[in-house]
Amino acid sequence: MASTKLSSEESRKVLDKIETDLIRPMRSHKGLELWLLFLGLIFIVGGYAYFIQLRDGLGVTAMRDYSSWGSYIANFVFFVAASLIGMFISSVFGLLKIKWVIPISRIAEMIALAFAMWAGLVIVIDMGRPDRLHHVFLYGRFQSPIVWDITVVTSYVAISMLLLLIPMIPDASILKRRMSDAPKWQQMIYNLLTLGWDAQPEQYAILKRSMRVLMILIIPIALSIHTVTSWLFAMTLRAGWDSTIFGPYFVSGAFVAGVAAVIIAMYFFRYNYKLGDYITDYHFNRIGQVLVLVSAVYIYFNLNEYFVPAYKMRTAERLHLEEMFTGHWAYMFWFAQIFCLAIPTFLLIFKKLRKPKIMLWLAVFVLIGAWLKRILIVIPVQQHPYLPIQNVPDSFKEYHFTGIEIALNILPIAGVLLIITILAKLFPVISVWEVAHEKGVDETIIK
Amino acid sequence: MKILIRYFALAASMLLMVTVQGQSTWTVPDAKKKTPNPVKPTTENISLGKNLYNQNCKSCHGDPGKNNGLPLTPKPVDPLSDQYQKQTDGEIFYKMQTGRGAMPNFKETIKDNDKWAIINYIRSLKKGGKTAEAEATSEPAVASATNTDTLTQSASSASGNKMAISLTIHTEDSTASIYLSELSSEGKRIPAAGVEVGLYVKRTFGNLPIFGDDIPVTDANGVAIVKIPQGLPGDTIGNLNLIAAVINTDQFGKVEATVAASFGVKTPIVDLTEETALWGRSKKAPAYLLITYFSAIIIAFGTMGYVVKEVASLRKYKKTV
Repeated sequence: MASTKLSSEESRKVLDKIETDLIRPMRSHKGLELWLLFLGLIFIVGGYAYFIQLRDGLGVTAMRDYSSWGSYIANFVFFVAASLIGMFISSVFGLLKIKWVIPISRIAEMIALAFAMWAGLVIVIDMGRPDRLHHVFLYGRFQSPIVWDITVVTSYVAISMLLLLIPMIPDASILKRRMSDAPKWQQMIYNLLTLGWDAQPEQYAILKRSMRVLMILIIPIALSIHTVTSWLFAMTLRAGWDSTIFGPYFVSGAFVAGVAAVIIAMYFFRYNYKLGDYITDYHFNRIGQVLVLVSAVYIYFNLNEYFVPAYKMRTAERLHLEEMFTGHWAYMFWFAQIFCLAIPTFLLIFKKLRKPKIMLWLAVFVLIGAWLKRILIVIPVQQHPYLPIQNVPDSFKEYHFTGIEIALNILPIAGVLLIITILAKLFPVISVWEVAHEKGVDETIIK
Repeated sequence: MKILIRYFALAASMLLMVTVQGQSTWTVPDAKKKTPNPVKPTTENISLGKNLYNQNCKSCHGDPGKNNGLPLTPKPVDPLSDQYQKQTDGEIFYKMQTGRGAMPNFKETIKDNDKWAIINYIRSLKKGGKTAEAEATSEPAVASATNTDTLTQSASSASGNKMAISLTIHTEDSTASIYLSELSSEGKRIPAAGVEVGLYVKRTFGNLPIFGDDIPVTDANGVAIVKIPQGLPGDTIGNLNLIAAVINTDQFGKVEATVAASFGVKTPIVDLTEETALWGRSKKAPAYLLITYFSAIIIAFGTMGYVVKEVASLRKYKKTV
């Protein structure tokens, strides 16, 4: 694995430096209180909004008889999309033995786990009677894509957690040694996770085999979570959802959103956690190339998804597509497609522009576009049912976000940031032992 | 300059009007005008003509007397209008034979005798003085069914005080007899002869005709006998609702009688949710789906369980204490 083996003297020195560099930000709590206060405020506002929604019912949102899936479902699709990145970076690139992803694969895993866990909660927010959540398990139909979706999202949360925690075992052993001054509960976590790690060759064999098995297994599970999420729409006959390419269209879009999220996290950890030696311009250059690749694939699927029906303009599709291209949703649609997809992809083709600061801004645009795109997929279609909408209040015909809804869409995003914050304070955001291996540190001392 | 343009426009529009008017006269050679109608206007023949008219002519010429033909230029003339009826039979025949403009020729597509039948039908509309505008005062039928010991069921309807229809089902030989009567000027009920009647089965979305290709016509006694086809799907106990009705509702209004008869084949109601299918209840999920679903879960969680077990065995290899 290592390019050049270091002597045991050097190994100790290098490992010590890596440990110090990667553990230091976990001890520094500068600005943490302020950040947690900010997240706490969002939680208070969101919690109050949820209280109102529970008290008064889902009528406090813009959802009505026709658009019965609103921004919550769009938010859910966005969350599932963003969570796919853990599989893509750590598993696909890991199995291909692409070395440069080593320092960012744990970041991707943390993002994935946080988004996947909150995706389930977003669905609960969308429920009018969350007290009947268990009915989904008791009375769900096996024929329903909704039951399949619950199953695969649960499986993905489980496997993401394993894929985050199992490579953490050698690091937990290191943390146990170096964080002896940490609070007791924190030490207990490290102790529990160490699992008797002693850097023995047999242990390395078990660890690597386990990781390999999980990396292979996570690929079909991750593909199926977003494919099944797309089937929630594509299994209906509605014009605009009734599409055979919805699965790959969603998956390719998910990679775009996920890579953008990883770029933002990389930027944050590089500057805030002072990890410039580990997350370098080279890594930004590489992940920029990945963004170009996945965006190009996504643009290709967009072309198929919009151009093919637009060429034929069947009556029902026409209503929907005209609203998207020139009608009510046109500003959002073209903003998402041009400013959040086409332009960032084009700019990132140039190596000169694949620099951290520029990429941060482009990634923010891409991520906003990814969220808007989910709105555009979920809501407009429902406003053009096959039977024309007649004799209903005006609020049924258009979708205007309410304040409650906005608060409850921001709440899960704060929740994701909170999970990432906690994980980044409990564990090093870069895998210590894997980086040490990469630098040629003697395996047997990593414990 | 402007005046000149106006002048030209005026001249052009006048020219156009002349052309259009020129088109609207359709001269028929005198010899052809005098061709006599060789087919006798019997009830059957008029009925045939009516069917052919509905198939071939109605789409452009519309319902006779309603002047609702297609808005073409020249406009297809209503067959009940004076402009149409003042033509000789020979003239109408010649025009069917040759066609003009939007009107196709029917030289090959309709047999000559059939063309004469259409003409007989068109003439019959005028002759009887029964134009479509004539108010049909009949009321919708009120049906009542009675069971007799001779396995006969009948119902009759008195509609207004003009026409009355009754339907009797003969179970032994699967026939239905329809009796139609009308009120004479002396106030007596007399049989109505030569009227087309139909026999139908009531279905969810309308009435299904079951009298076949030959439209039944009441005889001199006002009776028409219709054979009831076997094997019609009925309800769960095999009941059918048979309806006898006068076909020409334009002329006679809605005159009909309904009888429930146990002629149908029993059709059990299949509850779709009881089927083993994708749309069924959860307990009726198809086996392939359940096998796929559960084997995917078992493989995924089984593999994860294996990994957890493997990792838990790490402790065994701990050397340093």
